[in-house]
Amino acid sequence: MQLEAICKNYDEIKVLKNLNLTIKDKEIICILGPSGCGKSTLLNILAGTLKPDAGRIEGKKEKVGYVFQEDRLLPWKTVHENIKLVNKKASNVKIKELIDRVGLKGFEDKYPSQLSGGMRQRCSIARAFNFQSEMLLMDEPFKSLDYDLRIKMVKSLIDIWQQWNNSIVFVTHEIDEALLLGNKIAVLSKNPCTVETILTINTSQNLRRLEDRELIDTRTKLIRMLSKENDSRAYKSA
Amino acid sequence: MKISIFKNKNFKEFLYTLLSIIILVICWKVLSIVVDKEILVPSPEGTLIEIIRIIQSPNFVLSVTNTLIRALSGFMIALAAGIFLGMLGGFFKPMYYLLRPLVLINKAVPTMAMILLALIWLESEKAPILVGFVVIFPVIYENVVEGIRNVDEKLVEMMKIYEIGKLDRLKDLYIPSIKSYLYGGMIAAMGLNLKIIIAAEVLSQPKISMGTSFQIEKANLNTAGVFAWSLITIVIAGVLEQTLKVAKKD
Repeated sequence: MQLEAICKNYDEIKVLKNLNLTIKDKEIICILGPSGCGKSTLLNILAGTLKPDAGRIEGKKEKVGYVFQEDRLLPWKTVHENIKLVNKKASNVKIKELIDRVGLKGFEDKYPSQLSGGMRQRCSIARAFNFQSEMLLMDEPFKSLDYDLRIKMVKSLIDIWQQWNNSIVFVTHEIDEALLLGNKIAVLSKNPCTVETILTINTSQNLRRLEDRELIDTRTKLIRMLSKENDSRAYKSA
Repeated sequence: MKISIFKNKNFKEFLYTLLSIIILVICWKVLSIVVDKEILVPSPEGTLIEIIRIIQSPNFVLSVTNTLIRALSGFMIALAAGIFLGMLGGFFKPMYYLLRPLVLINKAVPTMAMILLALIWLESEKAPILVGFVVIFPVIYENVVEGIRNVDEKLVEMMKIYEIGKLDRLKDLYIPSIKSYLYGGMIAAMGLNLKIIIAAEVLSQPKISMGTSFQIEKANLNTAGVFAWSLITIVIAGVLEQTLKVAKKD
């Protein structure tokens, strides 16, 4: 999927300006950028819920899944029912397998109110994977979780993605999440939003450790770039 | 060692309710002693004797049944119309504005005026049903509209992105949301409904009914009888309300 010279304005405010981005199949692209730079606008354009004012989108995906910042589960449905909701043809065996993969085994019949924030978000990830989309958009899905849980969630996301193996666009504020997840990391600028740089990490996600030389170097580059764009305090690094 | 039953929340609630009833009965007894005129304020024991007499009378079951049939008929018609029109009003803004005057008229028209009009238009057996409908319909309608309007927009967006069809959206998102509002409305409407139906019956005088029985006791200057029928009404309204609450839990 290719975005070429995408522009989007809200009234007088230019949110996206000449934004170019290529999302290849079977890759995870992480989007890093300052708060309010237009990351959610970009995701909504990718999801097809928002139309750009100018620019071209080639190879648009028909079926796009979305993991929101909030879990957006139906409170009156159980974990199993919430996951099944988006693909009613999915077999119970497949849903059970997804539940196992996100570590919710034994909680199939629990309601969202009976789960912790992390568990609810894992349920919403399982729901997104059950949708069997060509591309999955994730808008800071682990924002409300603490650091350790976030890293655990990233690892379980990699685990499911390797089974599913389609493209993911993952918006985050956390450099470590991007380092562990992304085949590519796109850094966005603010006012208006364009793609500043794209960094590539070649090591397979399975073999990555935050202490690796490649990741340490990439983190240093990212911090430098982001410091230019915004107050570096906004970005946490390990 | 504490007895576990005292930890039970329901039991505590029951105890407080019982205490409140005992206090009310004591106040009632004191008032009846002070006034000392059975025709103005009958004593609790005099009222109890009247309740026993009414329950043992041959027409008691038929009176209650007739009134309940009228109350439930009005209630069911209002429920069906309220749900149907409420969904139209909730989903389609133009329908909401088209229905607004009708709902406002139903809400604002004095109950007594409605009873009199119903008596002019319909026979005495059916007039209370219309009155019940007019009073209950706006309550149900507004609760359904609220249920639809208060559906979380984020959940609607989620369902659109996941390509969930309109029928499934209605079934999985809107109906559960409407249900929680509707039960609240139904519980409030049920108690109101019985009061209104009996008031209409007092004026329309259908053959055998609770309202007619009220009128007979009043005509006989039997205030204890009026008190007794009032207490019977309270008990029936309470039973109906509890039935709906149990249905809601299930």
